[in-house]
Amino acid sequence: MAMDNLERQVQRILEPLQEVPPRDPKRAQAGKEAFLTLARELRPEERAGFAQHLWAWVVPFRLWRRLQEWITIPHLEVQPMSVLAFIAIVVTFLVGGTVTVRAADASVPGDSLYAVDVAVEQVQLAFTRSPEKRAQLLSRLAQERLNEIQVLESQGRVDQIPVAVQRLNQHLSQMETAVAQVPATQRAEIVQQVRQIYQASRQVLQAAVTPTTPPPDSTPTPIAETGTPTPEPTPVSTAPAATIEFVGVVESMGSDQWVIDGKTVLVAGAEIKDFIQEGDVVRVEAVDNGDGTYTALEIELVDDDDVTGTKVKFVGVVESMGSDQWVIDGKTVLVAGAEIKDFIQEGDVVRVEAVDNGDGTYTALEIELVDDDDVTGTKVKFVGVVESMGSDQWVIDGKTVLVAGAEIKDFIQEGDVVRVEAVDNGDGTYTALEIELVDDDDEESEDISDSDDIGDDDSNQDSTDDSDDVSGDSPDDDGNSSGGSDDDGNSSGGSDDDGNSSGGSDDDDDDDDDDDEDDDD
Amino acid sequence: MQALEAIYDLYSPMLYRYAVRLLGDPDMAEECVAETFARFLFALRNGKGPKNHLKAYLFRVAHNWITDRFRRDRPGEDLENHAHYMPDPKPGPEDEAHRLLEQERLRRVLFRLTPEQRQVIVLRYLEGWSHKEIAEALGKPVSAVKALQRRALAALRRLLG
Repeated sequence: MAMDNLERQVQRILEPLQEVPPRDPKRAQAGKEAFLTLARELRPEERAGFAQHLWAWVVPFRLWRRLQEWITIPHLEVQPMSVLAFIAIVVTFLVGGTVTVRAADASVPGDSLYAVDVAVEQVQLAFTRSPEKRAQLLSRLAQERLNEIQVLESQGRVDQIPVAVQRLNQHLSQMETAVAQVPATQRAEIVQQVRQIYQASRQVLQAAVTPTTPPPDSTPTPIAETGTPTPEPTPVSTAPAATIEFVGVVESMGSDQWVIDGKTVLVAGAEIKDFIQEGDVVRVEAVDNGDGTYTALEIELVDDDDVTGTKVKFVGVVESMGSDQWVIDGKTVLVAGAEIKDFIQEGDVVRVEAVDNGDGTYTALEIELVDDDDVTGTKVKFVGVVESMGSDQWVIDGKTVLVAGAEIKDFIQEGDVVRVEAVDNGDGTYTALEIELVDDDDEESEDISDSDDIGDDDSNQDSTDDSDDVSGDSPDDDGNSSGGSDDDGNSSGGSDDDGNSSGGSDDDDDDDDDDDEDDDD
Repeated sequence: MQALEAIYDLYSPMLYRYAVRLLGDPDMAEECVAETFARFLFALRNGKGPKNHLKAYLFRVAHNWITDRFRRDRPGEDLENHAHYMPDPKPGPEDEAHRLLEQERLRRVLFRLTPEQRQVIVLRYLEGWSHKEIAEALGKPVSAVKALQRRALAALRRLLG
């Protein structure tokens, strides 16, 4: 609950930034026109020979593997087949099949703007909640994929057909889910529609069992010329400038170029696969421009498993927390990019998995709070009066008790008598694990739900469960506290199970709400 | 082209709001929007760009641009060591100067967070995104976003005293 309160506090503090000056419509329109002009300028001409180039160069390295994966459509129970047979089946289906496909007027896989079509469809799907309408939309999209296959075939761009097949597969799978959600009484019509799409798709795959010869009038394809389903990955002379791959640390990040491992890398247009910051270790696929610069095609974070250097694990107290590096147990730990599993504050005892950089620093891969049971030191319990309450430490019974990370079970104020479970740090301080009121005081609980305004001190909030709050007097506050945009009707159920139990109760509450929300998404 | 126009109409107002909140300058916000969409087009031309989650992609590009711009345009302001945010004891919503000053202070506090923390806070509390949407924008799992949010809130609490 303290976290909820903190969230509300942050929201309130950030309120001045909610105000946005109205956008100048002339400038907005000018921006749009500039964008569309640029789009026209960048629109690709018909790329003659592109398919052949792709086939010769890309397929051996990438598409071949994907092709093999995509050929199986699990829910239609079709066994993998040879690529040659598959393509032949597609050709047969398209040329002689019984399904009528409309002439496609949109872009097809391989077109630069195909991603836009995909994006638009994603938007449409995202906005279509009703299962029935969703199923209809997916049915239409599946039909479009069939159209695309036809267009690709007619243009001889068979290497792109698997892209359409993969998306067709996705649509069918999503459609099954949607149809299952349509009430049985309204299902008949949509089922009929879906069945037609299934039949169309099945024809392709049934034919796979009995490979068919491509029709004589079909455009000769590179596959026919190759005559083997395992083309050699032979580089062709028409290949673009050599691409290289390297791993390095991101030393600086400009808007258009980064310095990675001492190399100047032009990043405009690159596919940045992860959220990358300076100091991250990344893998770069780039074209060597021959002038000391590299045009990045793809940049991604290096997986933990790929990290070179010695992996170490240690447990220690968080002594200080900077934005990018913390000091834990006297060690400088670089935390950018690390997975921080819990809500951690200075003074917490954490377990760190990191790479020893060999220069006295460690690059953290994972940091988590040490469970209570693992805490070293003597566990103690005592009862005492709360003499003072700071944000991170209280004085209870004359003892300095560090409360950050503790589970505060009740609404506690100075003067209250509390029971404390803590670890004796051996230096006169105690790290609280749990603090609760000794006396039952129902009245105070009611006060809490009435007075959950943003307090001056967020460390001593009640941990009364969500259901109390929601059923209490301030449902609006609770419903809106997380600031999510979703229409989340599940706020009353804020106590479902949550994996992050090692955090304080604050975090648990926080996550409960979040999970509800995410489920809705 | 119609699809592109639809995308622009749908997302440019959101990106503008996002940019102007963080930059505090409508001109620069327009520049951010223009640059974001230009990068999107160049990415598409190169056969790259988003496979899905277009909104997340656009906001990621905008976020990177804003971070770069803030760093470049305010070299005198060391983001890491900027003075703590000092809440004004006399809030006066009717006072335009005060409001602007307050906004600028908040921006500075936000820019003291790490880029990821800032993105989480802004998307969550100013733009109202769900954790799932933020996870898509950051390319991280939802659990990592929640952890980032907790750290960001803790950092804000420290910065705000």
